[in-house]
Amino acid sequence: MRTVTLASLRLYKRRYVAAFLAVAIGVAFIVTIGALNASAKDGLTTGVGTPYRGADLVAADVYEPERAAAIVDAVDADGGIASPMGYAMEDAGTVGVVSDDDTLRWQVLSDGAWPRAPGEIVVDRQAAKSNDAAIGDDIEISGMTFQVVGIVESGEASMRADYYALWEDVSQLGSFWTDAVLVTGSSESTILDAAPDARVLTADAYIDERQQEIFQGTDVLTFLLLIFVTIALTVAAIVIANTFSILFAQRTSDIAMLRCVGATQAQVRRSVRVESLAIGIVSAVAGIIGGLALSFGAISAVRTAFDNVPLGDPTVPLPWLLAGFVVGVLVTVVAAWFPTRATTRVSPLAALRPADGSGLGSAAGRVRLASGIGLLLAGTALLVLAVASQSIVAMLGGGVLSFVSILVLGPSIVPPMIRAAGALARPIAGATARIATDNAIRNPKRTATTTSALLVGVTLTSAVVVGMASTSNAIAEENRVSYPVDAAVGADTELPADTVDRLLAVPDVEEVTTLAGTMGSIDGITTPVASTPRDTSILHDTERLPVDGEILLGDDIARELDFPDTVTLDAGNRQLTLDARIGDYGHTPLVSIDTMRSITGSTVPVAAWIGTSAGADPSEVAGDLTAVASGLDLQLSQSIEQRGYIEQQMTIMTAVVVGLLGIAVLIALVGIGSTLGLSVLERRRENALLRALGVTRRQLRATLTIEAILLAGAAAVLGVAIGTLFGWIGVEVLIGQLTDAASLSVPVGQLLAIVAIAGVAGVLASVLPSRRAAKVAPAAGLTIE
Amino acid sequence: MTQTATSSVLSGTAARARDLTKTYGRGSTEVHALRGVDLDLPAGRFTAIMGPSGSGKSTLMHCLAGLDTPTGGEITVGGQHLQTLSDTALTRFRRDHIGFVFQAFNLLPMLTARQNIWLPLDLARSRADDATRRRFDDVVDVLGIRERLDHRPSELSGGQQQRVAIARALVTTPDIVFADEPTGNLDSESSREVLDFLRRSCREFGQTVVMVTHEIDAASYADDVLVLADGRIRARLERPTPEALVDALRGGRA
Repeated sequence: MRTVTLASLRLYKRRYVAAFLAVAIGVAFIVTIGALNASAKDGLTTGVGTPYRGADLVAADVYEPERAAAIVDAVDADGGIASPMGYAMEDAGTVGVVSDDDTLRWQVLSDGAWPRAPGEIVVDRQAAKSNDAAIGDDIEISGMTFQVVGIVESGEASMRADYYALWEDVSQLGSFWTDAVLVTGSSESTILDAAPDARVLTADAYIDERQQEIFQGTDVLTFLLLIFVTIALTVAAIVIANTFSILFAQRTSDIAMLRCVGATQAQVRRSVRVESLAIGIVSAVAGIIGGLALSFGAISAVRTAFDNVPLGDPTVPLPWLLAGFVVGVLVTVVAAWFPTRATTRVSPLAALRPADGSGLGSAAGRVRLASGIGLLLAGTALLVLAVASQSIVAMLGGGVLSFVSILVLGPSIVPPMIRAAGALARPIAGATARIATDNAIRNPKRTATTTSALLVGVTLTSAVVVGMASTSNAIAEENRVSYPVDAAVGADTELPADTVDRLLAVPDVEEVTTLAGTMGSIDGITTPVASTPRDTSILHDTERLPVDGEILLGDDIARELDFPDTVTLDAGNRQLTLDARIGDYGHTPLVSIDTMRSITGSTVPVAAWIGTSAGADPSEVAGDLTAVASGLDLQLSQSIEQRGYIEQQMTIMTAVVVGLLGIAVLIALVGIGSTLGLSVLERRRENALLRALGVTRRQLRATLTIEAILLAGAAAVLGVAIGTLFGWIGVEVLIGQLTDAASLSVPVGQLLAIVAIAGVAGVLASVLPSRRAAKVAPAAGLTIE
Repeated sequence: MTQTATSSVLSGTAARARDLTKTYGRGSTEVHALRGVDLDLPAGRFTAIMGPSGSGKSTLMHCLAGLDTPTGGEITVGGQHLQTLSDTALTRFRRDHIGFVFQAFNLLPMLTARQNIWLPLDLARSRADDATRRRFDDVVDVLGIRERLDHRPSELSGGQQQRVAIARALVTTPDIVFADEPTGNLDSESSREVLDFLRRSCREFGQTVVMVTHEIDAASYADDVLVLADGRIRARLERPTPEALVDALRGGRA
């Protein structure tokens, strides 16, 4: 039998292309993820240890600068040296600590000198480039002036800052957040005495801890990517199963001959299983090689293109390679299992009839229909339950059951759809369309299996697209309330006269509403107070405007007054006690119209609300407004960048997820191309007959193209419909838990694009098969070979 | 030519059927393909089975060859009762004791002629002993296919393919060779050659050959002719002339 197996593989190797590609792509995917995982871990952790290596001990969980100071002093008194690690967020940039002692000084000096006295500061090379700072410059930070004395490299450290100064200076910055304190030459007890809530570890232990944190993060990401691999491999399994069953159906006469001549069922079964194993091994190896090449190339390209991306050298750890290989082989063998079993049902008598091989099939049997409907009912019930009770478990269970039922009922659902679609095409394409339709549905089981692979991919993609759009919508709704005004400017006393004109001059600013008010004193703080304008149409949301007796405070004033519940407002010869709340409408304190009227009748413009156009580039508009505001000496608060950032993240996430699902869709399309190609082999005689009867080459190619469009289109339309439904259910269950604003948003454009892409891809998949079909000479297939 | 005695022939009978019945379908669609056929096929002779379409001749051959299970009755080939064998045992029996030549699609397209001829031994995983190797050479030379041994079926003409099939059927020295319309797809020249080889294998190798055919010219090469009609043997003729055959065939459809 070995001769037969090897000879089959050699002769029919091209027919296995789809299975080969499906497995190779899946395995390459796995290998690439492994490379990314290892490379990211390597890159993220290279610099992790650098700052801590000089220390003996590290005090962690310090957080407050006061506790850091206590530790430093205690260690100092003990005869050792301590240097805090962390950074302060200042307007000029982030400020970290550079130790005055060599042991704990982890930065690398590339130009100039280290700070030796308070008032001296060094700047990180990259920060120097972007802030245009040089040695000798004066930098103002939090009211203090520093002179730049040197330029340093922070390397790959994750605790890097733009500037580094001595601890004496940095400890004065109130915004310093302490990550840890490096200590050398002292003891654990000294540290704990000074800061009892801190944790003390050896430097090595601390480095390990940081590395583990990073590894956890990358592992979570890797896990998510592996979910997509699973989807891709499931689709690959469907394609493989389909390919093998078609191939074996075509070799019925060979198998029957073998049975006649004396091959037992077991021998035949073993032989085809060995074939599938061989295909699996070859494909897996190809996938590994492809994956190595791809990951090497991709990682190198990313590292050359982007400077500070944390990716290490592209290596793939051996376990990932082995796992990829095993998974590839396993998927092939398992997917081929049932088709190989079917070969044993071939009776030797089949050898005595000339090979029909026209691939006709029966429709779904009664058992199949019954079980399919049963599954569908069960799945639907679970989904209804999921929506009603917002249970994720019910949603997943119901989703899987319903989808499986669609696959089982495939032979009953898909052919009628295709027939209907074909009927639509007939006015355009005539008899070609009818031939194509008939060919597409002559074997309902095969049609259903071919489309099911694509169905999986399209359904998931549609569900994701709908889910993301609805989520974006929900987030936008939330944002409307949280960020009711695009931007606001406030004066210290009064708005300069040309403010409105200057603001309107900024590109993408659509409207400006001025707020009138008067100077006042809130619990002793002198500040202008504004009143709600009559026309609030510029706002996205007016729910949280101040009511009578209430005042909205900006962040800074509220913090200065330590977040009071009530404040006393002295303004216009009156003193009022008002309920205080933090407002979302800008820095300037805000009261209602009536409250303002009760204070004074004469007001001046003190603030303005700005409305930007919807499609504006957030960072550009924000930058322009900042320039105008500082030019007019006004305070600016804006939410455009924040909202823009969130939207951008959603778009990126959607794109990435769709891209990853695209791999599964690609495999499915390879499957369609292959099925068509194999069908062409079966229909050689029919196609020759058609050519003999007068069908031109182009018409024959057209039948295949239309068949491909019908198959891909049916899968796409059905997939989009089901996917939208799943997407809606997902939104109801997942997001409905978080916010009430969860409403279905169907991105019709994107969904239509999915269907269109599927159609185009179907056409591409048909190019090679249709050429082969058209090549057959009219007389060729008519003789019994 | 070497005279090789077939191994498991008992009392000069290669195959025997007793009260062989085969029925298809159920109820109103029941078809009685064979209605209690009794026959003895003598060893070393060339027997042809003839009859109009629907007479059951193909079904008879299928049952005798162990390709189909009869509804009733007994079949013995080379001393072995076939109806008691399991599918696997039956398959092995076919491999070791029965040779086949069909009308078409005899050969596996991915194997060369040589590999096709050795196929039954390959399946049995048995090494070819000297006797078998000599048999291979003899058969290949007699059939005149030595130059084509390393070609695939797609590179052979119809007549050459049939000859390779015959070689395969003969190389295992089976108890009986069944040929189902072996000349159906061939032109008269190739048909004559194939029939000649079949007869020679009887004469010179002592092979038992049973051929199903509807062609009178083909049947005239045989030693014995059985005429089937309506699932029963209507006539047994020995070395018939074409005229006698025409008579027997025309002798009324029942």
